[in-house]
Amino acid sequence: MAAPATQQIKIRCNDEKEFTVDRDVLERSVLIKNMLEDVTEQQDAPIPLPNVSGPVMAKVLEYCTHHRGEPLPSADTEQSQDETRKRTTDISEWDQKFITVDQEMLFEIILAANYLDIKSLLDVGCKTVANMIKGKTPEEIRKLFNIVNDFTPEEEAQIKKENEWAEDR
Amino acid sequence: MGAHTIVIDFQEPSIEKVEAQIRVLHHYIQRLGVARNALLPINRLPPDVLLDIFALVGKTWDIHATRSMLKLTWVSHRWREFALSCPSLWTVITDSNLNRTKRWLARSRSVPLSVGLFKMGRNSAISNKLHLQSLAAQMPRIKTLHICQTDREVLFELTTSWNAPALLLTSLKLKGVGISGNFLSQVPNVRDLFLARCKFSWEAGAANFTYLTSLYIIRPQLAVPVGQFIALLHNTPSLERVVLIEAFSLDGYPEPTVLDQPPALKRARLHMLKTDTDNFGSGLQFLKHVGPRFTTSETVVSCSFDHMAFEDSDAGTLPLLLSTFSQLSSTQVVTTISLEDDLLSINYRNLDYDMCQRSLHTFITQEQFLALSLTLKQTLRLTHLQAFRFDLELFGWDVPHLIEVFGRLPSLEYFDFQGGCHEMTVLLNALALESSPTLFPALKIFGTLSPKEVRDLLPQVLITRKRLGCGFKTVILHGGDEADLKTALRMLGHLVDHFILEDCPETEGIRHEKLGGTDPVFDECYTKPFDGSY
Repeated sequence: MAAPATQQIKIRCNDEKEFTVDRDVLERSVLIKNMLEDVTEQQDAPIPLPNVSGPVMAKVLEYCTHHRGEPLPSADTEQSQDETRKRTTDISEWDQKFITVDQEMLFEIILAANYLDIKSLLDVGCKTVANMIKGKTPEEIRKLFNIVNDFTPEEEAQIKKENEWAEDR
Repeated sequence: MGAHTIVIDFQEPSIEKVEAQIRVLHHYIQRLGVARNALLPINRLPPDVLLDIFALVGKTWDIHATRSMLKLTWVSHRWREFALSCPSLWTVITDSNLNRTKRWLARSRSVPLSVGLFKMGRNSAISNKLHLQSLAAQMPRIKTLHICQTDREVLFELTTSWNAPALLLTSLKLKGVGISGNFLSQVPNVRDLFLARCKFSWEAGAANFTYLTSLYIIRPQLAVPVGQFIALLHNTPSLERVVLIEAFSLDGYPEPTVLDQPPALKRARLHMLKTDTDNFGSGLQFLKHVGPRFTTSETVVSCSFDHMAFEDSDAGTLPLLLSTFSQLSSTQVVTTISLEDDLLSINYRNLDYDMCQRSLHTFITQEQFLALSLTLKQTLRLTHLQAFRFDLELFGWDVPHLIEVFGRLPSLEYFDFQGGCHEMTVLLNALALESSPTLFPALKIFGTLSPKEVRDLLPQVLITRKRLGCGFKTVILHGGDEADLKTALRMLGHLVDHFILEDCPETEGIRHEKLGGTDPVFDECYTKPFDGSY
């Protein structure tokens, strides 16, 4: 039997920060949903989330609260989208505003979404990074992510030859 | 990485020794760069997440797909190795360079491919032909094949190189130019592509088009005779989506023997039929004769006609078209029919009828309109029409004709009319004589009138109001002086819900309010619910 919508669940992050959240909000995370379903008796002890820090979890909960009640994406939907090549990098206005954070937080959110298995949030994160990369030259991408050019001169020459056509476009 | 010591020998220096040490240093710097990059936040993402990001960057269905992937391999060692180790990132081939195509084929290993030969221009056919040759051995793993410029030779190459079963093929899109009308006789193998091979597949129970679920045929030059097309549908049970764009020429129709023996198209679906002016009649004929043969409720989902120049010579075509649609809609399969680009659009889903005024004004004659209204009422059997909107100068339209039109229209939720003084006069005269005053439960008339014209029209307005029991939703008053405006408002005040004042003088006692809409004309106007004070 489904738990009442008002049931409050406690979670504890890796920095000991605790949150008390409505169950339906937390159940945006497939990981937590499965954990809650596995627990038959009501427990007061907070659910430990060793891979997520308090500030990141606060952002994740902000996302989950905004999207509470929306249907969770199914595996079928994803496959069909992939098949028809309709998957775009479009992001809704609210999500765009939500994900406008510094890079460190952006990647932390992506890691958290991946760990907590929140597909829609992971999708927003991946699309954001993809949009950051799109249309940029390799040098601009390096600068964007603070990557150093670690190719040897010989490798660089070979890649340059391979990419001649793609340059300056 | 362990600790390293670099010893620079200053005792007996030589260029060779220093250069060797520089090379060692470069090597260490490069390795340190690799180690440093590994610690970056983006490189801490799990491989499946990074793959998803790369796929989003590279998976565009155009020439940019190739370029994006090449750039990703040029950022760092880690990214290059990762990208090259993921075959799924190299499955979209849209490049016209044969060497790169070969590289893509190698990198994608055995993963299903999507191939788009999009090169346009003088040499594109040769390029496409060479590409098809290079892809011939890959046919079994091609999932999508779109060819932008399919001429006779390319088609020949396609049909001859297709000697391995394309078991994964779900979408074949051929867009052709420069193929003469009788190309079928010039390239006998095309029959294999569209007919014989399918039949063979069907009889053999496997191979080739058996699994084709989507077929695009584009351009009249690739005109497929209706008979062949039907045979293709008949022999390809997996086909779910057929997009025919400008695909039927008059040459290809009719083939009575085929039409007399309709195939059982139980699982086929005509997704969209799109024609242009040149073969409008042919497309219509196709719909009329073949359309009803799509017997299941999953058949015609959408029909779209681009019709840029609907001419007087097509006077009988529009009603015929609507009549044909009505046959299709009798099985409730037509959900959307639209005539785009200026003419009219019909959305059956909401029974919302919207006529684009400019085209009607420009192209439709009184006779056409009468025929259309007859079709609307009698053939389409519409019992409820949400909106009928037109804006035409009723030049040449006389009152009896207009009344006839009204009599033929189904009941309207509202009637949306736009016109000037002349049009309003004709309309009001017609409405005054209308024998079914309940025809318009809500009359919404936009008239652009000068206050003087309001005075002239007042008698007809009053008669109309008396007969129809309703007034005007909105009247636009244009120009005039303050006295005119006050007179007009006083006369029409109790008949009109809203006035929109265009270029009217500021008048004391009339509160002008800026409209918040998006219409650039109306945005500059002001409106006010009339309070009856004039």
